[in-house]
Amino acid sequence: MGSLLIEGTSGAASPAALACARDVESYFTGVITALEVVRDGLVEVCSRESLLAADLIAAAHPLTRDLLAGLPLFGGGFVAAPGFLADQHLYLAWWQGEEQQLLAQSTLSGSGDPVDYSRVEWYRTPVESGRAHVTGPFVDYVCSDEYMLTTTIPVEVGGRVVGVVGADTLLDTFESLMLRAVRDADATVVNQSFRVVLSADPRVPTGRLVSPERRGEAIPCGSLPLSVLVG
Amino acid sequence: MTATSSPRHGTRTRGAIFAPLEDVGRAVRVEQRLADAIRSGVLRDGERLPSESELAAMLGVATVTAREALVSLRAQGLITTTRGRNGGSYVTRANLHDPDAQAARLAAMSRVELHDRGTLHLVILTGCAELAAELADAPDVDLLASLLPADDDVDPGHWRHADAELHLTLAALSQSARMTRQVVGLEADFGALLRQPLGDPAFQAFTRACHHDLLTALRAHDGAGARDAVRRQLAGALDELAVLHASYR
Repeated sequence: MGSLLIEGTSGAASPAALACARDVESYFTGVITALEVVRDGLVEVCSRESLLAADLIAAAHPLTRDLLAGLPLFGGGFVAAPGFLADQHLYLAWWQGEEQQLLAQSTLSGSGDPVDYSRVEWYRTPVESGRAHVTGPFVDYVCSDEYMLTTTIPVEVGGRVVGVVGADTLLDTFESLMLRAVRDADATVVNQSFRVVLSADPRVPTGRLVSPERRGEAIPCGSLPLSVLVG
Repeated sequence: MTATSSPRHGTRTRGAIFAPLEDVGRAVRVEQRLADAIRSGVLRDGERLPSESELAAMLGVATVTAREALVSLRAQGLITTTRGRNGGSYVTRANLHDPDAQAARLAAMSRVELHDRGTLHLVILTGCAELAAELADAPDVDLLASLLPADDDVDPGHWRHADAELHLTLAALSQSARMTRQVVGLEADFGALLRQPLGDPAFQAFTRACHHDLLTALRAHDGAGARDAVRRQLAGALDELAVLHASYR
């Protein structure tokens, strides 16, 4: 994942580069910790037989409100595993935007062939790995129509994955949080595909793929699927 | 991490449909917004709409206004309403591809308007394809491939849905949220008409070949090839549509 270490041209990573990697790690660790609180708060309701969407909403709303109040997030919530709820095949208990509106598409019907989120990265990866994942940068045309970094963790009840809890960070927000550290390190933050999240070089836009010959040294951001490239 | 940025209110493909409206002509605007969403496929066939009162609350209109809009959508055959425990209003997109409804929509357009809409669609989607070839990695292309209908699938509904989702995903691969929203708007405007020719298995086969060339070009980071594949597909669809249009006028 993000731990690929390429023998660099610049030798040992600079303190600024290490600090940058730590800042990125610490931001997402904060998000993941907050998501774990939401997950733990949902275990009871998710243990019920034949859970209905309305009961899920009632339990998830206050937890998500606290999540969104504590961090500079665009949105967040719980996304049910297909078939987990008794009355909805696919369901997103997701709140977003300034008004923290409940996503209108929560009334998807199983027969209506809605966008099947079970194959998208932010759902599939944490479910398959059992671990936290950061997806993006990507244009989220399913939920927000915004350019996003989405953090998701699996929710397991009785050995069965019943969904994921997640939180959206706008690239705009990430940029304002991290640009100083990235510039100080003269670095580029990339994801596991070596897609640029944020670069000190103003000519390198977010979203571009960094070709193998330009990668230099990669400093992993903890166990996140993100790295800081220097040199 | 000293700076903070307040998350702002963004547009949403589907959420925007239910955002509050201004005062003027509310029922008509509710109706128009939902009709566009149904035509574009943003609201899916069989999907249950919120109840009159939920809809009214979401849109910030009176319940009677929401009811009026639903009555009109029902009259257009875009929704059906059932009563009872699982009662409610359900999207019936099937009627969209009713040849009579399509004929009426097409016949209401001039040849110039049809070409005008087609030109905008073609330029934006070919641009998306070129950018996607630069910016997509292998998992992105795998996701696109997974959207395509199976080899033996000739169901027009599947084809139209798959092609719409393919084009939206292609737009998202431009890594530009504004570009993606543009394409969502174009799809609402013109998508259902543009996919009318996909009822014909011969045109499905042509489209499958274009999709194949597109995916091959994307995997090879071949911008010109990706652009050309989308251009051929859309030009082909627009030709078919123009011929259909001529037969109605």
